[in-house]
Amino acid sequence: MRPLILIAAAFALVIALILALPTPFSTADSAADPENFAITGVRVFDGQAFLEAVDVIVRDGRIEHMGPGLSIPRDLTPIDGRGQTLLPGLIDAHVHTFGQAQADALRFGVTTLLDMFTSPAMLPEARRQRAQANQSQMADLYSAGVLATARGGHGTQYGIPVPPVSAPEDAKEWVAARVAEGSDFIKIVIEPGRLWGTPRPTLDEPTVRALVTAAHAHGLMTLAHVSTEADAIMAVEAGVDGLVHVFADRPASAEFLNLARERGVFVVPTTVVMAGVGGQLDLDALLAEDGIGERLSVEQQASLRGAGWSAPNGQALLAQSLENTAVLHTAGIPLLAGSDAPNPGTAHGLSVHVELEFLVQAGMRPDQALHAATLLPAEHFGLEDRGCIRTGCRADLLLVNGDPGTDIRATRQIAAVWKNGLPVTLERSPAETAAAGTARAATDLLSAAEIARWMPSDDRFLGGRSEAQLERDVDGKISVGGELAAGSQFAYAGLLWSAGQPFMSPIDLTERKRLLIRVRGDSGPWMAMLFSGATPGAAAPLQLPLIPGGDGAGLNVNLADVAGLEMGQFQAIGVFAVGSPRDFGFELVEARLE
Amino acid sequence: MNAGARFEHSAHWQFTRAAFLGLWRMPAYSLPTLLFPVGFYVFFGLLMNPAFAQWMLATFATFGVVGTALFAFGVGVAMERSQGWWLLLRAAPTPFSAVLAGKLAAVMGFALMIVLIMAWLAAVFGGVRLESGQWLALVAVLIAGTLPFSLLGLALGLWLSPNAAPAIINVLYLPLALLSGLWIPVSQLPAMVQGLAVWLPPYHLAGLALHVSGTHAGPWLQHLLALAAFTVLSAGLAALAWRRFKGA
Repeated sequence: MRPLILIAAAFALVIALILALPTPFSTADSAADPENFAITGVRVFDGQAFLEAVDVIVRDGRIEHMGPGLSIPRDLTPIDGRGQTLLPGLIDAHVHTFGQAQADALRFGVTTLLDMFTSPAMLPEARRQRAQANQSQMADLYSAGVLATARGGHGTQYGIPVPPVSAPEDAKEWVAARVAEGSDFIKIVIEPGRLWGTPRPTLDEPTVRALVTAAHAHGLMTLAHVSTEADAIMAVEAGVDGLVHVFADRPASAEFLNLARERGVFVVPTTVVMAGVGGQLDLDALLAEDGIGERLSVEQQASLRGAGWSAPNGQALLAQSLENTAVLHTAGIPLLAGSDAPNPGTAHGLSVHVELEFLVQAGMRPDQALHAATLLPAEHFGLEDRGCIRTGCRADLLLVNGDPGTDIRATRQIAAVWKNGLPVTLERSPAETAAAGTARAATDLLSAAEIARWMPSDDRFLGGRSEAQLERDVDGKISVGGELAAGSQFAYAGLLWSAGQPFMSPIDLTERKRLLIRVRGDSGPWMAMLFSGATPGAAAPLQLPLIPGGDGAGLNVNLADVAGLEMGQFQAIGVFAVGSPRDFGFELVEARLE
Repeated sequence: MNAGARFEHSAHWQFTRAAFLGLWRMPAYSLPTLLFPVGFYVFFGLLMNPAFAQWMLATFATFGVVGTALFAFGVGVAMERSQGWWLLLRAAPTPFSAVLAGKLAAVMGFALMIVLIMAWLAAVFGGVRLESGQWLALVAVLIAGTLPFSLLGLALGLWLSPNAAPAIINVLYLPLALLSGLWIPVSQLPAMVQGLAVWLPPYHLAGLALHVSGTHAGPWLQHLLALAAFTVLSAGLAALAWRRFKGA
């Protein structure tokens, strides 16, 4: 009897082992109306290496499988990918997310943003959005929230309130507050500002160490901003997991290389921002490339054209950045692609492609550079299903014409982008295109020509929830209404007039001496905000309350008396309802720059 | 004697058991046949080309089962023959078919182990997902696929000397695997050798495996016909060799 039982048992075991093998993803729980498609005969960069002439099947927002000459089920839309290259959606490992950054990045195939400082009000929505995976309007966002810096240190000049870290004893509580806000990792600024000519207070070594310990206790990674090798060594010794710039004050020493290798830190060189602030980019050539200009929003154009921080000797800065990037690469230190957009000379999305070109210039092979913008950051940041094209990966995809393996600039020849398996609209919205005219500032900002240039503006730019809607009519009347909602640290909603074009680009208005603003409406309060400086949005606006009087409120100021205002680089005037949350409405009855 | 006891004492069961244990206890056979295809799949498939995990499951499993059959029969028969064991068996009252069927059953057992190990590795580490029917069909095709290669192995084992057999079978097996696209898809091979694949039986077994697992489109009938023709050819060769052996 024994062998028959044995055979029967073995047979049953074999059948059980086969039947227990996993079956395809269930389609029942997927989003409604998913786009299922197959890209055939395409060259694929899978996050690590190139594969020739394969078919990739995308179903329910994920890569189902791939291989050469697959049987394409009839319910899939076939897309002929011959002559094209399919890449995982790119990951930008250093951005700052304001306004339309997530939409702007997506039009350039950058599908995941690793943000190193933004308003914490954005974090809950970012978490919800990236978990749902059902939209194709925005790149997904992982963020540090606000950064750790000294009181008055680098990072406090941008208008977002930053709770300072004054001493090592603050670290625990400070990190716990970030965890509560939903930060995905902790960004630490070590920036004495010497290299940039504006000395600032900075965190000391014991405080950095305490922040790292506190962050690691919560299971959060720590990233450090440094600009000098001495600070880089300090940060790595203090235990940070990555540096989000390459230092460029001097050639990288063996001491740093050994230390970095031993501690296993990665570096996000951001050479593109070094080139940007140093004025070393040929923007005209870049914008002349097919398909790039049409896809830039006004915000992208503004940041791209933003004047640099007058960094001393931009050429040397870029050269040293590239040299150190090359040395780090040769030493085997993992490098991740990051742009530091929207700093001057960069634009969300586009600048990742430029950074890839710099990484190749620094000696990386194209496949290594692409790895640095896909699978490598995904691995370092624990993003399981991103930066890869293989079974089960999220269908965040970038299809380009040509072969980035031979010419890395081919990544900019974008044919299509998918987010969560859904096609992305590559052109910017028509409204934005219309706004990108050119005009010079008039005296009466409510004249027939100027009235069209006022735009609604609210704290959603910083992640708030207030909403402003504009109504204008031809006889110089413009009114704004909506909801002023709690949700950001500073709620505001109203309207904004940009002096230059593109939006918020600085122009010289030194000949103007007075500003007159008058509004009529609900009980207020209202505030005017003046934006100036070389870099759009870089500095916090100057706030001038409107004084109640008559049937409304207004101001009449001598511009020379406004401390901190740079009329030579004037950007914009905003008029906002502020204060307690309410439904608001007011009419702008006077706005003059005399 | 009841049915169970009759089975236990049957020559077929005893030879199957003996053949399986014989292969299992010979590390020179069992280690390379099990470890090479599985190891190659893990390295070239799951680690180096994770995107091809499903494709390579079919082709490396084909590589594995073809090797199992060729070596068990080709090298095994040549050795047993030279040791005089086959002469003894022929003189014994056992039906000789039991010897061959037992060996074939043992080969299928090994093939089953290889396919199951790879399938689970593919599922767990390669994210491969197939319908249950496709998993079953993949296993079934590959197990059945051992038959023609066992016949070829038998012919070689009857023909070759025990010293020459391992060398010659390796020389056949490895280029056959490469040119049949078992390691790299045929489409990725140099153009000048791509045309050879259709003349090579492992290509057709892999084609059938790719087809039933829903991995590759393309017609399946040509693969089946090619394998049938190859089976007849191998059976003919084995029969010729058998006559020569009996005459020897």
